[in-house]
Amino acid sequence: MQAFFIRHPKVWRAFDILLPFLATLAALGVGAVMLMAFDANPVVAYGALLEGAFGSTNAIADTLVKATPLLLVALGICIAFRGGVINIGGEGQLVLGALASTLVGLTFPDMPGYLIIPLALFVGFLAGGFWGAIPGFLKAYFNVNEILSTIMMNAIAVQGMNYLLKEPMIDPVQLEAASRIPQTARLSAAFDLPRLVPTRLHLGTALAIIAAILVFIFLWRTVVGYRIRAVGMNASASRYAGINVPRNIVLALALSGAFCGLAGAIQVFGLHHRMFTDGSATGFTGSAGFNGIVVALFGQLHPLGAIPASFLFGALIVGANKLQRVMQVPASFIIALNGLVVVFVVSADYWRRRMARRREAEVVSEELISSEAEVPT
Amino acid sequence: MNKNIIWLSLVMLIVLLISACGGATPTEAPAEEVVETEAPAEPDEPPPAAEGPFRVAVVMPSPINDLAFSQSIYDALAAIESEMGADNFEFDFSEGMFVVDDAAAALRDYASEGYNLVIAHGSQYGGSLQEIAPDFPETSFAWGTTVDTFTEQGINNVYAYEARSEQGGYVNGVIAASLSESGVLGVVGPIETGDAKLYVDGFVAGAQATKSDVDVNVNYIGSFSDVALASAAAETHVQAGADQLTGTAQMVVGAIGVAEESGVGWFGTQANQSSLAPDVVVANQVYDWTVVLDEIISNVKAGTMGGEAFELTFANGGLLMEYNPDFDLPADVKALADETVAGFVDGSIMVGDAPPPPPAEEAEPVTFGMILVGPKNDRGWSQAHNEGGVFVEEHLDGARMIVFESLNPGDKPEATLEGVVDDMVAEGATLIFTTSDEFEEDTLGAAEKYPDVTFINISGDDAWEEGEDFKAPSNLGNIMGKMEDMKAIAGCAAALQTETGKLGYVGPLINHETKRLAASAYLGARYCYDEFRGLNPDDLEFTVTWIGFWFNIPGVTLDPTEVTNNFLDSGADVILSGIDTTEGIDVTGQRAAQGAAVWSVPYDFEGACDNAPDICLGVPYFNWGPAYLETVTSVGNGTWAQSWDWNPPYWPDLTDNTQTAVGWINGPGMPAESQASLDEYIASLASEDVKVWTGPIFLQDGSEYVADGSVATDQQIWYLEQLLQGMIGPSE
Amino acid sequence: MIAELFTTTVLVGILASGIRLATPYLYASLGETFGQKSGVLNLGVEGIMLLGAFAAFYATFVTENIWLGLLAAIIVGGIMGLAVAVINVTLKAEQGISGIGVFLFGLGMSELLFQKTLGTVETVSGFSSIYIPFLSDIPYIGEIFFQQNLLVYVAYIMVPVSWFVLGKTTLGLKIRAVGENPEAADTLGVSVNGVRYITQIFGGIMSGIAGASLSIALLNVFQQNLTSGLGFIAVALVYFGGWRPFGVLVGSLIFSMVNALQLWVQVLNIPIPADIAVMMPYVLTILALVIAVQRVRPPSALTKPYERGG
Repeated sequence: MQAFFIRHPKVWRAFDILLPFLATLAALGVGAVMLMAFDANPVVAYGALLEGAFGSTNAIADTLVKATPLLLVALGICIAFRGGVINIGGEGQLVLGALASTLVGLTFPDMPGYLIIPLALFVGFLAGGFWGAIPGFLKAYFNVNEILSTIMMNAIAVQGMNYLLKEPMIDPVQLEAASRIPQTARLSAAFDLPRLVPTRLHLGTALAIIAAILVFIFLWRTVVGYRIRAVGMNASASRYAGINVPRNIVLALALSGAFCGLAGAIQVFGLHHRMFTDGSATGFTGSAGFNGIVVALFGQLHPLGAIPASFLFGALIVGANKLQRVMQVPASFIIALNGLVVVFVVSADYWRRRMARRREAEVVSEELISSEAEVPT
Repeated sequence: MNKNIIWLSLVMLIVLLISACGGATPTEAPAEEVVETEAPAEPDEPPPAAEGPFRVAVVMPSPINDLAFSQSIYDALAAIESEMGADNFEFDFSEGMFVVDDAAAALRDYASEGYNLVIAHGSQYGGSLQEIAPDFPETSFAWGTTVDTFTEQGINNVYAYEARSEQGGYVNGVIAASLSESGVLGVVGPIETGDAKLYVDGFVAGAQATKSDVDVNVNYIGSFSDVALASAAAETHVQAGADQLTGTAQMVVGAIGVAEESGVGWFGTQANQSSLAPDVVVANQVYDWTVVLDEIISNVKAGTMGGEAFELTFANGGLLMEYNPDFDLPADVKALADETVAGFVDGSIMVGDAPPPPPAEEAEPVTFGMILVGPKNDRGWSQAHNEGGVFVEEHLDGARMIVFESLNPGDKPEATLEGVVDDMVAEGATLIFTTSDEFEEDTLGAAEKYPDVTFINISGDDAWEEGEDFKAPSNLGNIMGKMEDMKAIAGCAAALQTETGKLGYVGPLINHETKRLAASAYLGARYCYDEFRGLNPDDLEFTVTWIGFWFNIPGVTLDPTEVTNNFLDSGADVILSGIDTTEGIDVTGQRAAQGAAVWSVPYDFEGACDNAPDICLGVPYFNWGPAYLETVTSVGNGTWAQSWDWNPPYWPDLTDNTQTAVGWINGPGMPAESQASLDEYIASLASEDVKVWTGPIFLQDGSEYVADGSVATDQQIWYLEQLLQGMIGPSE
Repeated sequence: MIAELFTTTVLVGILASGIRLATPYLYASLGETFGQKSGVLNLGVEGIMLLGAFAAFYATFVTENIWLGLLAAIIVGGIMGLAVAVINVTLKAEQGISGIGVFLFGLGMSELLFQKTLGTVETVSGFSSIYIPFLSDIPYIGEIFFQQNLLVYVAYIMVPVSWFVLGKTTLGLKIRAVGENPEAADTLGVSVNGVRYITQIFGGIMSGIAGASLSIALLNVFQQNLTSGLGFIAVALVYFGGWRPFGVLVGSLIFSMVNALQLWVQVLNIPIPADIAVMMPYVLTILALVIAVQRVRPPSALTKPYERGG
């Protein structure tokens, strides 16, 4: 069997690509057993999931809307991973980007949209970048592990958000109400990101795809991107080659955070048109800061791979919510299923790598060296 | 790697295609339909059926068994279901929707599936609901917990509900302060907002009202879920000397454990928590949402879609104090608590800074002017506007109308629009409707003269950004009803009834509006002549005679009586009116009384058929009330913004004058079988299966105006330059 | 007003609360320390804690026996640890990500089981406070240290035990070797994956007990998402502690005590917005790291699966 794959490179490439799908199917299989355990018909259930994700124009639009922040976060994660750092702070960076961009929108309510939207998105990008740069700085110059610091930064961002939305940034209308719902005023309708078709689908999706292409170009076609990857591949060799390692670590985490911040800004301007809190980050982010990491891996840590991966993951989340509505299965089942998919996909990567090693061992040929190992000259 | 990506995309595409085919409903909406509508495309499902069970869907942030916020609404719905029976009531829910955009998707989905009532049970869902509700005018929504129903934003299908939890908080505070020996009370809250804030504020107020020197320590732990931190917070309170504790939201179960361990009293809210610590729980404030839900449901059944805020109080039985039977509460304290509850019921106790929910319409009293081109009882155009103004006065407290009628050179040659406006502004009008195309130019001048007064010119296009003539200052808006569809129905009715194949159209003066209305009638006539009678529409003779003004001015215009007589003499047997007054039907009625087989379709005023019911085939009319009410309301509360409104009919019921901008009333003179065909035509327009302005449409000069298979744009319809090919009559 | 913080009541309160609050962190962080020392990052501690918490609670609720409850947490934790080992060691998954999967699975599964079995919030009588004879009577000291429940005492006993096992035993040596230089360890005949399996299963058990310490000792309730992010903090505390049990102890105590302190800040009406007060533990943790632990290096092979000959 393996020998067959090795002799037919096209087949095993397809196999590589299919692997995450097979893993997802396997996870859904386990989910089916769980569904049967509480008397739900898995066929009907997964039918509902598919219909919820792809069954109508609106469903597909919802899937794309859901995929948008996932893709942007995944781009950030790609940069971080390529730079040899892990960014678990996506949640906090999303929140920061959203808050900062909302502030721009609230400050200039009468300016035209074509000025404010780009400005706000850029400010969101910067704010996320700032929030990412802090752990980067701490890692580069104080050897503070970024996993620890990004987790802490998430908690700080959430409490900061709660404070800002309850006091300085609160909707003046809420300030007068007894219950004081912690949200800002709605941003001027002039700042709504254009809808692409008459659904919830907005321009942000297209921006995210463009961003993916730009990140690809950045990482593989520019010197700065090359340096980040070099540090990620081998920090000491890079240092030896004269690359400023600490600076590139800061840069990698800052850029990573910036894309998360952009995701937050796009969620505000494309979807919610205001900022709000339910006390946690999740209410706003939908855990995109975490799910984006999975998406990045699903896309094999490649910016372009993240595009279909985010779509698939968006579909899974949107479809799963539909599944809850149709079958009235508990929401917790969907969270558990999400976890299973992640575990299965990340584990299945094992077979891809094993196959790759066997290939390299047995067939040493130019065409088998993947393009990502090449370094631009 | 790049090749991999292409592969991956390909697989995704296949998955997408397979699932799109496999998905249950094939989407019926083809591309052009999607392009046409502005509202999100959820046309798959019909509006809720009148019969069958009342269907409710609820979206809530936490699980249904949280022993707190979400469980309280779930239990209420379950109680209603068991009371009303599964045949009459059913509900579905989405729990654990703490991700707001998932919750928004769920709300949208439920609404598009035709639920009668969709409940957004979480204050964080408000922003999303505000975007969703206007897209589903057929669905009623409810949002809790809040008092905001978005009526100020012009949304009328949202109810709000809120628990006045500060009342029970106050009672708990009274009991806690009475029981406390240390004089220190502790409160554990999530974040300082919403229901939690109301409750805590009430608790503090109640405690301090009972013992002025009591210390109430409040701790917001910054989380709705951190049970361990809630427990630590309770511990801190105990260490600080508190001997009575309370707390709100689902994470307080951790604090209850500490209360039990330390032997200090506990006061619950949202649900009865006695079972969690039978030794120390003293009292609980319990929510019974059925009180609110019953009212909302019966309102929705009665046809009111929203606009009202409800609340749970002790007075309406939505709030209840439940005492722990295992706790030995001293009789005098219990009596004090009962007294406090009674105080809330009779209104002698008020608490906190919580204002009562604002009345549905919070508008300032508005005085508005109404300038009419004809007399206000013309049984036509001007009377319809006057009645729109009366509708506003009836539905909006404090609204006052000043009318000026017959502003035209024939009747009042000395009066000018500017002079009338000066008088009205002097009388306090902050909003003036100038209800004729004739006033368009002068309104522009008046609007520039009075930038603080809002002007609405009816049938103008100065404020249409996409129009050809956008030049209005920001205090000038336009309103028009989409009469074109109604005119097409009128034309259809005429074509169904005519025996001679000759139709006469009494037109006013020649402008864009009158041309497009006459043309719409012609298009409706052609369609029905062909579709229902199987006759060649090219044989239809459709003649338009313009009298020169909106109504007869002797010596200035043609006499519409004469025009009608001429039509009838030349063989026309159905007279359509396009003028403001009723000569068309009057003359036709006289001829019919003399034995002629002739019919008429009047115009403008819904009661116009009364002039000659037996030969009246129906009447298209304007109904300005709803649009005027919205305008006056928004001017009153300061939310008015310039717009150009071309308001469509309310298709589910063309005679519902609380909703529709233009209407059609069936005529008593229409035979039953023709009426059936007409109903079919109306239904096909309502469903958008048929569109009046569908190509091919040619102008009088033979040039193609709308290509075969495409539909005219708003601009093409509005700015029609010529009559259509086949119509007889001048275009200039 | 700040001076009010320096009264005996407050200081004793902060210390006593801090010591109790630190308990779940200690179990989880110590277990994670073993794992990371052997070169495996398990970011799914939170999920295992939740499953352990539910298992302990449910078993105690049904059998009314806290020991069976604790046993259930140990078994569930062990099984989850084994699963993590399979995923991270045998299948060599990307550890930062598989942990998120384990977390989500634990979060969803514990809640699902909770809904399908108990259905509503219940309470049990869990481990109760043990007053150590004589010691518990010492003023202040007794209240702070010697009036806690059994799982609290055990957690603190585990600190020197872990230090001893990691630092002074052959097993500890193997664990460190596998985490620092798996190739060399392999050459010396140490089963790299075998050692990692042991640390992962141990880590799982400790996470399970951490969950149990919440559900049947400190809180005596179970609710969806009972841990509420505690497990992630526990992982962070391992870094904070520089992969040393006593460092972890210090980290857990600082974090917990600052948390207790911020609760007092609110109780004493010190005019700081509640949200800002809640931020304090996180900010201070980062600051402490910047100042204190710059020179500690993580185990060289951390997050790197072992490939023989690779």
